[in-house]
Amino acid sequence: MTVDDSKVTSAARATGAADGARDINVTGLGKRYGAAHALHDVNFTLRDGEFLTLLGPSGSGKTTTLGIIAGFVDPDYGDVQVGARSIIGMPPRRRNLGIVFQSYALFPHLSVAANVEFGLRMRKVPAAERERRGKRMLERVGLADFAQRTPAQLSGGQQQRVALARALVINPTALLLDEPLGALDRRLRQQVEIELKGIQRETGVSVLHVTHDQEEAMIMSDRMAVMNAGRIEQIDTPTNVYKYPSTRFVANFLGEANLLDVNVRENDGARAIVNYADGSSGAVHVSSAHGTGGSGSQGTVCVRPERMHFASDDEVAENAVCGTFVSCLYLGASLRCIVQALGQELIVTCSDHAAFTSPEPGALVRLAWDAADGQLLANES
Amino acid sequence: MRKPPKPALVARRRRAATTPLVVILAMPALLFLVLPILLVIPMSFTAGHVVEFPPSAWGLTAYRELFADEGWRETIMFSLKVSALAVFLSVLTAGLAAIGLPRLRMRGEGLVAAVILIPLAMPVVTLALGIFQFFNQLQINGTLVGIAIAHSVLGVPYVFLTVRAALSKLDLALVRSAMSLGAGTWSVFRWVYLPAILPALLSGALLVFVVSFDEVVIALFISGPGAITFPVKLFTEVQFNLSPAIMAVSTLLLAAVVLSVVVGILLFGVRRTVYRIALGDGGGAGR
Ligand SMILES: Nc1ncnc2c1ncn2[C@@H]1O[C@H](COP(=O)(O)OP(=O)(O)OP(=O)(O)O)[C@@H](O)[C@H]1O
Ligand SMILES: [Mg+2]
Repeated sequence: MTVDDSKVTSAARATGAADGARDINVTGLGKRYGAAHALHDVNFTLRDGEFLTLLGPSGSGKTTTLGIIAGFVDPDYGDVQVGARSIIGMPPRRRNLGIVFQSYALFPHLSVAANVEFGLRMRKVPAAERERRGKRMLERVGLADFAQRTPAQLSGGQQQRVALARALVINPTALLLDEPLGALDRRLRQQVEIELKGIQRETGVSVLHVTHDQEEAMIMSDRMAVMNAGRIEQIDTPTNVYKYPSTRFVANFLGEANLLDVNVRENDGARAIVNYADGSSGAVHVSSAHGTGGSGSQGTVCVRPERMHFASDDEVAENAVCGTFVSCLYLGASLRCIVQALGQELIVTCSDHAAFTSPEPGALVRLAWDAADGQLLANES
Repeated sequence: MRKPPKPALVARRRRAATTPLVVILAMPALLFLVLPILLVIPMSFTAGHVVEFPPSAWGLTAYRELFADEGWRETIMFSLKVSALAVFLSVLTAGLAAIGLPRLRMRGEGLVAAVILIPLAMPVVTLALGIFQFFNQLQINGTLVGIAIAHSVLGVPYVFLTVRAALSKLDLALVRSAMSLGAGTWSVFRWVYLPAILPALLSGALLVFVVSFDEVVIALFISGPGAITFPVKLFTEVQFNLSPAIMAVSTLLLAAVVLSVVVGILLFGVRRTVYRIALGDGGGAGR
């Protein structure tokens, strides 16, 4: 026990990484409360050392998923495995998972140091080693000077770091975070996002993070799973989820999206030829790996506002539609324009540069975008 | 952890208290409440052997009589033992019930809670009669343990309610954090539940003590030779042997109560002491 723990962990990680022994595999998870499905066939793997975010609106089942993994909630069906070993039915105290709640849940009557050492005390680690490891963890989160205070004497951000230290000191298989930044104000939040990400990188611990803040998810995650009504709609890197949303819900939830109804004429699974509502034809990327319609079917194409541009009449474009200019908002670094086209209002954002002059309201304009910037989404079931 | 009363509320209360009309209206009520109690003090300092007001001659006869009589000391000691045991029994059972009941997640939870609270609503005489009959079978009428058990029946609802109130403020995430950090059932109790309910247990215990030490109906039913509580003795003496010694013992009791309230105020401050006495609310007395 005198060996430096971080070496032990990294050694364990090195072997773990090879055979996925520290991966957490979630398969076919389902949970009902009465007649309502809180979770419906949730599948994902939290890979060793990965920062995975569950992102979704309120009530989409994020906390329930976390609770099942932590052992606080029993699933109705499905399995959770660490490596190849199922942990369903195992009491929470034997799962070796570090958890941070939005309320931090620090023990109010214990000092900061005693809070951090709590997990070690439960593991019957000798007092001297307990203190040493607790102290080192407090130093790591920059709170060594606060060891003797009680939680009530700390700011929200400091309490959050104590909660993090308390969860990390037990060398958990993974860290489960349920909106740990939810109670912080915006500036502090951004700072803590960076700190948290730094600590995760240093320790190499796997993190399953729950939030409904898309910006937070984009900044911190290696991958993110977008949840809606108890299902995971898409799971991928933040860039891919933003660039290649696979459903209408994902496209709308993350940033702004223009969603266009189309007829699919050809679809080879990577590229599709479509007809827009005004009859014009265009080429788009097939975003979703599954569930897009073949030729003749109805579909939806997503184009991000910043990927559309105003085009001159003679510009050759893979996709181009005509419309009437409605209005334009100046936002400093960018402009947000609204154009009536294809029977709906389209949003176009463009960066503010000298060459751009806003058209008059009511003017006829032509909008264009590349095939790579239009995404054919999965059909809703 | 108890939130202080909202500033606006306190301010309003203070302003209201200083309104002259309120003071004028409050004074007679206060006198009406306090005067009869205070009357026992002069009546105890009499030189004679009859109870009269004002005493025709001042002296300490009553106190000499009181301290000469072994019986008074014995019943007070007996009452203290009864109350202590009653406190222990009701804190133990009601505390465990308050923690355990919600965890059972069974349908009858509300019903069980109602049964626990019944003694609050039941006429004491009915309760006393039932207990008397029941204890007759067990042959524990007229014993210290018997009276203590009967009193703990009265005390259980108080502890149950104060502990339940404290638990309703407990963050479930604390329990879950402890479990995820490796705490088993005992450790969760020791490190999460106990610190959270300790103030409630203490104020519940205080209430039970007061209720038990003060209780006369049940104690009268099941008392027996050698098992007479202080209030029972006081009651029977008043009926059959009204002497200045009773005034003396009442005065001493009054002094003890005033003393403990003063100590309470010195230790906890006025507001919290008043809350504790009035509401028996230990909520989270700043632990
Ligand atoms: N104990 C419970 N009893 C009944 N229904 C529940 C319970 N816990 C959760 N639910 C329901 O399950 C669904 C998912 O809840 P969950 O707490 O997982 O959502 P969430 O994604 O964490 O939302 P939020 O962002 O608001 O925290 C919700 O519709 C909720 O009402
Ligand atoms: Mg939640």
